[in-house]
Amino acid sequence: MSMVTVGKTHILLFIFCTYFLPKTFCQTHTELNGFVSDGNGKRIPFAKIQIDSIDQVVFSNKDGYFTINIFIQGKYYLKVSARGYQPVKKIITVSGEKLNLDPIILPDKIKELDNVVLTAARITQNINDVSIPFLLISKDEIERSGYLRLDEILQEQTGLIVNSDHGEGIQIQGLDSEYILILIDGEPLIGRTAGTLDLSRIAINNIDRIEIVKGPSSSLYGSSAMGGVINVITKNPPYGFNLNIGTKYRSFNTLNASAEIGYKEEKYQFNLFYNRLSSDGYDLDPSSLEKTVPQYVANTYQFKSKLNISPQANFSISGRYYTEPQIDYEMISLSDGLTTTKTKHIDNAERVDWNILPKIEWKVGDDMLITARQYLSDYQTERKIIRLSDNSLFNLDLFTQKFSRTELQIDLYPQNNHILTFGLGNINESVNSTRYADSTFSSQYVFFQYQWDLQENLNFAIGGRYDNHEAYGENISPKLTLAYNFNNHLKLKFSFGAGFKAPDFRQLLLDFTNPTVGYSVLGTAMAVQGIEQLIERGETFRFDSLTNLNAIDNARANAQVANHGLKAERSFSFNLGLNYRLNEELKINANIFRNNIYNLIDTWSIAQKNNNQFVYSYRNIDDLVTQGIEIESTINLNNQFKLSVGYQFLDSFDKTVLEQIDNGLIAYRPPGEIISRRVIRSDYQGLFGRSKHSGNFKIAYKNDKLHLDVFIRAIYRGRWGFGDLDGNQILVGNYELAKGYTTLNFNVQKRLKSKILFDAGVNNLLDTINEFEPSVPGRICFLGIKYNLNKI
Amino acid sequence: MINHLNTKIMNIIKKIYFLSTIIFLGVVISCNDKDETPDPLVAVEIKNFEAPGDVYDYTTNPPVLVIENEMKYFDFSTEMEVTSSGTWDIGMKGTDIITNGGINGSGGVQATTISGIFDNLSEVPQGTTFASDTETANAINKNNDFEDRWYSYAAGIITPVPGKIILIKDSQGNYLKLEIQCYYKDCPTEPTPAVDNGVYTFRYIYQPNGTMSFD
Repeated sequence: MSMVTVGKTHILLFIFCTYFLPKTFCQTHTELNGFVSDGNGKRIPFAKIQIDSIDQVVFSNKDGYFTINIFIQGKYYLKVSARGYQPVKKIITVSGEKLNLDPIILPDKIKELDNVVLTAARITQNINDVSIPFLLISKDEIERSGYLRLDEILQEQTGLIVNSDHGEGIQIQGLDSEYILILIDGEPLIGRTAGTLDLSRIAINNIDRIEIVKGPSSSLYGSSAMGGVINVITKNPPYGFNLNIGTKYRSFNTLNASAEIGYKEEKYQFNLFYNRLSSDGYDLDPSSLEKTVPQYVANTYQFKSKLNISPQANFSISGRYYTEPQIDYEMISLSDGLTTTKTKHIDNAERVDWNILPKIEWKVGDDMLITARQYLSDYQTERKIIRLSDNSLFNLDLFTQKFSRTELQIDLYPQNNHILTFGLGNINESVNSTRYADSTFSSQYVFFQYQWDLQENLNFAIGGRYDNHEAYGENISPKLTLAYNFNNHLKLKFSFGAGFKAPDFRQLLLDFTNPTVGYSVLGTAMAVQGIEQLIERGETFRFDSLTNLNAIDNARANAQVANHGLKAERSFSFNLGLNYRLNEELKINANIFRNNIYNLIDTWSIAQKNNNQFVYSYRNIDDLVTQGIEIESTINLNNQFKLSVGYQFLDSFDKTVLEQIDNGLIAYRPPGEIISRRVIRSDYQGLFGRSKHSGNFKIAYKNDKLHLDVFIRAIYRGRWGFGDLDGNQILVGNYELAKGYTTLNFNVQKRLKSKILFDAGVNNLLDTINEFEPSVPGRICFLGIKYNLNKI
Repeated sequence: MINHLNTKIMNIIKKIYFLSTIIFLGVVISCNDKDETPDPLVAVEIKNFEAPGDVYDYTTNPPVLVIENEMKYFDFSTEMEVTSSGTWDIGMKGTDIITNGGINGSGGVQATTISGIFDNLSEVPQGTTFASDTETANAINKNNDFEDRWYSYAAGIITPVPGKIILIKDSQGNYLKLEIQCYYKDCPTEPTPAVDNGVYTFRYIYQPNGTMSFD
């Protein structure tokens, strides 16, 4: 405070001297000389040097040198900043005619790991520079929560809903799992069932942080990044030798064990990780033999290594291998038409994924970074259902997907307030399955992004990506963002972006007949061939094929329509966010969003079989909207207590349905009743699986003296539509809504002798069970212990 | 004075006459009104009309037909189940509904499916086109699109779509609107797949006078 006062006096003196007195009365100026460099001694050009209290700013030259003239002697604050570095403040005493300052060293922002993120712009940047809706889950929070799998930690975040549908999928801004891209260290995880990527495949014991972009990001990431991107960043080892081991036991006979070994020195580093998770699973519906979650053993192996070839270049290679066998029993009813017999079957399933990523990073000069990478991944599932009585095979399902991506990215830093990123790549994918026709696709893409700090408080970015897919054609995804800092407290962020999702293998290649009911589903590319096969096999269409050629012609005509193929699903989205920061202790973020989705892909029937069942295929139909607001606030009460609260309001609807409602074309009929009534707008509950209200409240308590951490969270998910019971295809009435629920989770951690950590707690203390959300199995107690060699 | 009184009485009598005439006329008109209004058409409700479909054994591929069921016939004007030898309007078997016209009969029955609210539909909408059963598709439940289908299928359950109205022109040229209300016996809240199915509950309003109005 006193410095500022002195400074003000100096300004008055300065004005007085300059304008009212002959120069000789006052001392002439002091010439201040200095230079700015990074931690390795490399000079930083275009660094900004500010002298507080007098309004003077200069920039360092291309060799990092600067000169400032100061007219009044005394003490000053010197503030030095440059993009990509942490700013530094220094007190200097100005006297004499010439003053050579000590070198000013700016620490790398990248070293300041807690605030550096990768996913928002595909370059390292400070989280405060991110202008799109973004969420960072820190290492601390991951550790404090005591969870084991990715879906568990994500469901505690504001605006993120875990929805179980063929696995634990995630929903962001009302867009489902099939529109969310999941990355591990920047590379896409493959293997989806009915569009859902099961997040319980990802162990979180070796995760450094999770970065989440909300809203479309196809301008950087291409297909599937329509609703958002989740990037799981694994840990890098600290310097020296490192060892981490831990185990945890929890309800349902679930046992988790992890081991991690790492080593790092100047020249190279490596990290090995192993995790084994086994569980008896659980059953929420005792009336059926099969469990809600079957018994399983999941093994995860991961490695990461990096070799610094020179100060400018490094080569790294990382990979993952995952295997998860499951065992379950089920009753299968077989009918010969007269009698139905139920027989016990054993259901053996296994899924395996692996990937490997060699990567080269090369710094060319001071202002260019080149990254080249080759990513290979493979996902396989096998499901065998065997009759127990005679070991005969009832059903066998095999699926293999291969994915290869070659990519080159170049980041240019022409001046400290401009960043230009561009890249290009090629993707090859193939699928091999009992349900699909074998097939291979390739696609090529280019993307660019230009970021410009127009003024200190205004920055702007524009970007776009062009994808050309062999089967689905071209897609252009633009993006524009603007961020404006009103002052140190208030920041406004606006972004517009486009997203797309190329139709997946299933929509193109599926050739499936339900073994118990008898309907068929054909991907659009399979429609013509599939119909011909059905005709050949005698599953003719409506009545006798010989006397009814027209029905067959009709089926063929519809197959031709399906064969025209599918357009990619597309979205255009707006986000308007306001960040308020009183100080480090109080922060409030709010964001309004709207996603317009076009060409949604849905099924339609192309023919009816002799058994009265239909043959389905896919087509583009509806236009959807999801919109809402998200508010989040954190308060640090003192050094020990931290509170946070989050809430999301979500509104979603199908535009075509609204039109039909207005025209009086939709009715509803509650199950068990026989009278149908007209649906009006206020009856319409929007899209299935979306909760209008959701939120969370968290209390973290940390006592450094006692080495104690307590973390309590209440997670609320409001009611949502679980399914269409009355056959009108839309969501109306309470009978189609699942009850909302709250889970209360708490965890206590105590560190002993600095290297050993005890962990105990209860997830879902209130023992909430929801029949429509199988990932909520009731109360889970757990107890764990961890050992970390390097912890001081 | 008396003259004056007389005129007063006369005036009162005149007024009474005048009022009674008005009241009388009113009564007569209202009575006439009542007499001329026809009785509003009442919906015929048919409960548990059994018309199960064929039964297949799906354990073999392609599925094998195990039980072949009979088509069940219905006549709207007599509100009764009939046989194919009589004057029938529609035939039902499983989810298949045929009409007595086109390739399926000589009765000239035509039909179509529209979206709307059964209770609110006062007449056959302008421009509605009726079709006969053809080799390509039956008039009811054309197989090429969800739009025209009276039921939806999910998790093994057939659910009649509320908001789908079947319009039929019967063998006598009269119009009716038909709503299928459920497909399982006694319309249970939670039907079991393939149990007591093919049992129709439906209602219809039959206009016997040949007009397109359902009021």
